[in-house]
Amino acid sequence: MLAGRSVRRRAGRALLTVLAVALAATLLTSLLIASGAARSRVLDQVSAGGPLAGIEVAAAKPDPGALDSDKPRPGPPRPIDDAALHRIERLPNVKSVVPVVVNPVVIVPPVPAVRGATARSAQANQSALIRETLVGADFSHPGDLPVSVLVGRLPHAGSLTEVAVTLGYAQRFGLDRRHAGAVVGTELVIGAPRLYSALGQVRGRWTRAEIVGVVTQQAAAGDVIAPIEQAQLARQWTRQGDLATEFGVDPSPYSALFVIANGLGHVGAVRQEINNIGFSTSAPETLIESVQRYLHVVEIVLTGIGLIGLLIAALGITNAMLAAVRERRREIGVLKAIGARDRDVRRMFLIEAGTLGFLGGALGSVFGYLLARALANVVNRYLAREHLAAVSLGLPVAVLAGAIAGATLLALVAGTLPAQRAARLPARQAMGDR
Amino acid sequence: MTGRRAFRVPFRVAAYVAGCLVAVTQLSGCGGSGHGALGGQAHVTVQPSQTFVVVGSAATVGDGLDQPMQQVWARLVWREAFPRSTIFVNAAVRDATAASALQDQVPLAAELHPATVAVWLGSQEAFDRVPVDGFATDLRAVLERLRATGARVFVGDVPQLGAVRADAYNAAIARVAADAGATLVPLHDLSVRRGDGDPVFVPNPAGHRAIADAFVAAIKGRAP
Repeated sequence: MLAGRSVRRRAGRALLTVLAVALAATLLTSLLIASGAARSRVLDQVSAGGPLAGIEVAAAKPDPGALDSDKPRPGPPRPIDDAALHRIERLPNVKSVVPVVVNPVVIVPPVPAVRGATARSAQANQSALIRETLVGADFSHPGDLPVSVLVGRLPHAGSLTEVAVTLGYAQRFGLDRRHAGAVVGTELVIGAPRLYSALGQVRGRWTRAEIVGVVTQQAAAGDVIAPIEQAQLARQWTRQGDLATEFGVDPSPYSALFVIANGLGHVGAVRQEINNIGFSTSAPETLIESVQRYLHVVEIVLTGIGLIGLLIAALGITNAMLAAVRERRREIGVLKAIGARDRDVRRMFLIEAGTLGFLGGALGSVFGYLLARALANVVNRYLAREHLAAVSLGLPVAVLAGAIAGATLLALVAGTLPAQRAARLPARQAMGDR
Repeated sequence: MTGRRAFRVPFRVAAYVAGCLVAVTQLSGCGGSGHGALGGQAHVTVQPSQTFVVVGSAATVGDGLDQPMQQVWARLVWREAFPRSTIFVNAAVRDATAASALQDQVPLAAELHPATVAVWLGSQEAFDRVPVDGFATDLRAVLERLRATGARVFVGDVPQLGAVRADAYNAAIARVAADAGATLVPLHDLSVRRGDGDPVFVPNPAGHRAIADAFVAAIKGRAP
């Protein structure tokens, strides 16, 4: 109560002290939030928008000579069936398994050509079918896929009339990254081939789908991404023809699996287990670990800058509290004369310092978050212009709570010396100074 | 400076700083959602799909067209008469007759359990002057097997072929279609006159457009 009254009596000084702490906390939180967002964006880029702990499992046996590589050479083909899928699902530290199916297709170029397409590319595409690969994945759990949306959205899970395309598709029409969004809303006519060798003819199973988004993806090589049902139907059609292997369609029910481990630390062990089952795996774990190390250094530097700010603010608190002790010697003397013990006086000043730190920390956290949001929006506008995926801040509760707790703690430490000095002040000396 | 006055100045500074931060946040669209790395996912949608199969010969394959994938009549019908979810299979084979279609095309159509089948045969027989009765027998088998799949069957007759007379074949097609429960798509009036010669159907983009219009009208239940 006494501490509160003291703060209220010297409101101007208290407010300036709170503002100093708030500014330091603002600096620290905004830097930490920004670096956290940048970290997730960079790692998203490295992992192609997919989970960092993602592992690609090929429909092939592992090559013993390339087990330690991020991208090993696959061994001889080995089908991935439901039994293999369930066996991998049951492995320890496997969070989820997403099957991937690919099939060769041909695409009829849209008429009229895509808006913004260069005349030469449109003409070239009109005269020829585009050979492509349809990549099918389960979109009911998009967070489990190595896919990042650049423009638009992903197809709805199970949709037979929606697809997404990669930048590679847009580039066929002379559209660069900035203008790739022009393909969104256009229609693709997709044909899965089936060979009839007796007739010397290839017949297509044709479907129409709207392009709903442009993505980057690492699920499999291919520029057209669709719900797995589309790819399975296309694959079934092609496989029932003669010489399906001529089209690169193997007998495996699934072309690949995308496995997510329970954290980056388990990726190596899970890969080893899958290799032991008999499938070739790849994961960018070494690359991600290297990038994480560099990002950690950047975070340390930014945190250091924020902490220097807080330290300066703490010195301000010490200075203000020392001034308060000097000004309130008589009050301290009176308190001691009426029975207050040293620890009561110490506690009063520590509460005052802690209150200033807490208020400054809380204010600084809010300001820091708002500042980071403002910066993120400026950055996102630039990224949107460049047709790059936006950064997402979320609400970093741990950073905000940590900043408040840290500022309070630092203020308590900064207030210790003045509080100690006030506590040790003899009552007589304090009273006699006036 | 009194304590009250000392309070006012920093309070104004604090209010100014807070106001600036809020303004910057608002101006830069703080509330904007900005799509995340994966975009939004709302619900699982699995649409029912139907299959449209075409049985025919060289013209149905698209022979003679610069851009058969865009201009052939079968593909135009698929795009214009059916919803986007419809699957399309062109079973046509060059130089096909009703007899060869029974072997090469009908089994595929039956395998696909189509909702709709468009048949355009007879021109080859008319050019080769195949006996009409034999043609009618084969066509009847084709249509009956297709109807047995539960599909709606639309059968086009033969357009004007210049010096080649197709009237007898068209009469057979009309009779067999009626017997088999198929819908006849009249194409016999489709022709262009070239010089002093007989009217003739030309399978160019305009000709395919005309055929497609006739099939689309029949499938949609409109008068051509």
